[in-house]
Amino acid sequence: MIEARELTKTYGSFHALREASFIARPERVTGLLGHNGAGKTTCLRILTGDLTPSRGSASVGGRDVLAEPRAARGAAGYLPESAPSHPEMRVESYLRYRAALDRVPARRRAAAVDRAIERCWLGEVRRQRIGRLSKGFRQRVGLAGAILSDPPVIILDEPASGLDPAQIVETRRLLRELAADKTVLLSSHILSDVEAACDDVVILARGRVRAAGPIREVAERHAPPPTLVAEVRADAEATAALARELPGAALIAAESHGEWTRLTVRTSGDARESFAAAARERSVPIRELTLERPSLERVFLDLLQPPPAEGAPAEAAA
Amino acid sequence: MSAFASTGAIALRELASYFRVPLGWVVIALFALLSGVLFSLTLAPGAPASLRTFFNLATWTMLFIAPAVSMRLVSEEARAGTLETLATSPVASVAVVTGKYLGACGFLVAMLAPTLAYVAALEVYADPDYGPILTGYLALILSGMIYLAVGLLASTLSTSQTSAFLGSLFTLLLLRLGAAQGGRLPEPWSQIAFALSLDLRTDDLAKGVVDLGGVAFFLAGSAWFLALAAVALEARRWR
Repeated sequence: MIEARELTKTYGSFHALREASFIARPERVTGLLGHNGAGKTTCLRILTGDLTPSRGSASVGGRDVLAEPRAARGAAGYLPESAPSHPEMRVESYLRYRAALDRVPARRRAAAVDRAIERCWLGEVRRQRIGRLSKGFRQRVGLAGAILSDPPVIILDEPASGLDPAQIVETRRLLRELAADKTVLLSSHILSDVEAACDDVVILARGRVRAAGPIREVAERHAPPPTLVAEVRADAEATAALARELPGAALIAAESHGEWTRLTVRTSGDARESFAAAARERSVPIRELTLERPSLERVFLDLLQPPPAEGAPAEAAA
Repeated sequence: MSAFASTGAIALRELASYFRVPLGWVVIALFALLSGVLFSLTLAPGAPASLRTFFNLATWTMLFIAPAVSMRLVSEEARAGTLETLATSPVASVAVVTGKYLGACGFLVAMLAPTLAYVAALEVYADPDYGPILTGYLALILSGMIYLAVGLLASTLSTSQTSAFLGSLFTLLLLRLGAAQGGRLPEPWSQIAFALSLDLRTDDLAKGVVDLGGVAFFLAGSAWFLALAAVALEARRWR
């Protein structure tokens, strides 16, 4: 479990993170979604102990990152963005080194390295120098390093970057497997990645948490009201009058093409029946009647924008 | 126990990395060449069978070699991003710094090892006095250790290897200059300069005088710079 409590990180007057609070639950994959510069990496760096927050606190695997920093660091395996490693080392010796850093007891190190190599499909390159590997393999070496000590929490910064589609699918499968008994938190700026890989989502915009929870729930909770689209044989004025009778109606457009008028109206719920009834009452023929719900993508794209009230111009890499 | 394991793993990786990149071999080769030329020049029939000239030169070249050996210790990892891996592992900053330091010290010993051939040569052709030779090596290693500790601190404070090199070189030159020219300073300062002088203590050792206080001076000085480096590494989390 990861718990962030009002995490704030400021650089001078720039807020990389503002009072960000969220929870990543065990046995689930949580995606931290946001545009570049939204504060994702800053947030992950605080959770992994690389950075100290300006305000707020967090716990990782039940350990407070400020009160017990080393225990909290030990509870999380971390794959930083771009998966840095020592290019001159061979995969196997690098992982043995990482195992020693992560306090894996000496007698269990070889087995832990073998297991990580197997889980991250590194068998064929285990004796190669890391510098000679492709980006995809280097990413897997970093992933293997993160899971070596079998920590209760796995944190990954943009794990899909630089991977080809097949590798992305493989990585998702591995993360799913890891989530069987771990808390997995990953960051991404690509909505479809988060949708495909995660159960829960935390949406960051300009350092603030805009929404958090299971993906479907977040989408439903933040979805704008649906729009009703109808095409009727009446002039624009009469059609608009029809629309105004609907509950909570807000007219978007009523455009006439010949004797037909196309109507788009936002209503508080599914108003198809009431619209049809009203049209029948006035003997207005209908040739199209649809309820358009905004796509998941639309909902998330709106959430990813910073709230309009905040026009802070600062746009810094974080 | 596991803290020692992490320190040991860091030290071994560091030591091995010197031999995985050209820098390590270049430094060893240049040092062997320079000291070998010098040693053969001092060999003459009837000359005293000592390594004094070699030790004098080696102490001076150490001023340049130690910063070159230590410049990459932390700054290279900061540049490559692997420092993030160290910083997010459950290893304490003191253990990271100590491991890196021990690795660099190990390289120094590896660099000096080939010079034992000169001792062997003296043994074959003459009858050397082993006292000054042992204390000479001791002085060389002890001053190398404190130089590396200064260099490690400089490397922790900078993400550029060049500025780490120059920073430690100038600090070391200042320390040695202070000792050499300390007598010209007004009162309490000249005493401080002498008290901090590395030269006076290496000179004692070179003469074959082993003073425990002197040895402790080098070790405590190294520990002091290591502690500063650990603090600087920990302070990175507050950036």
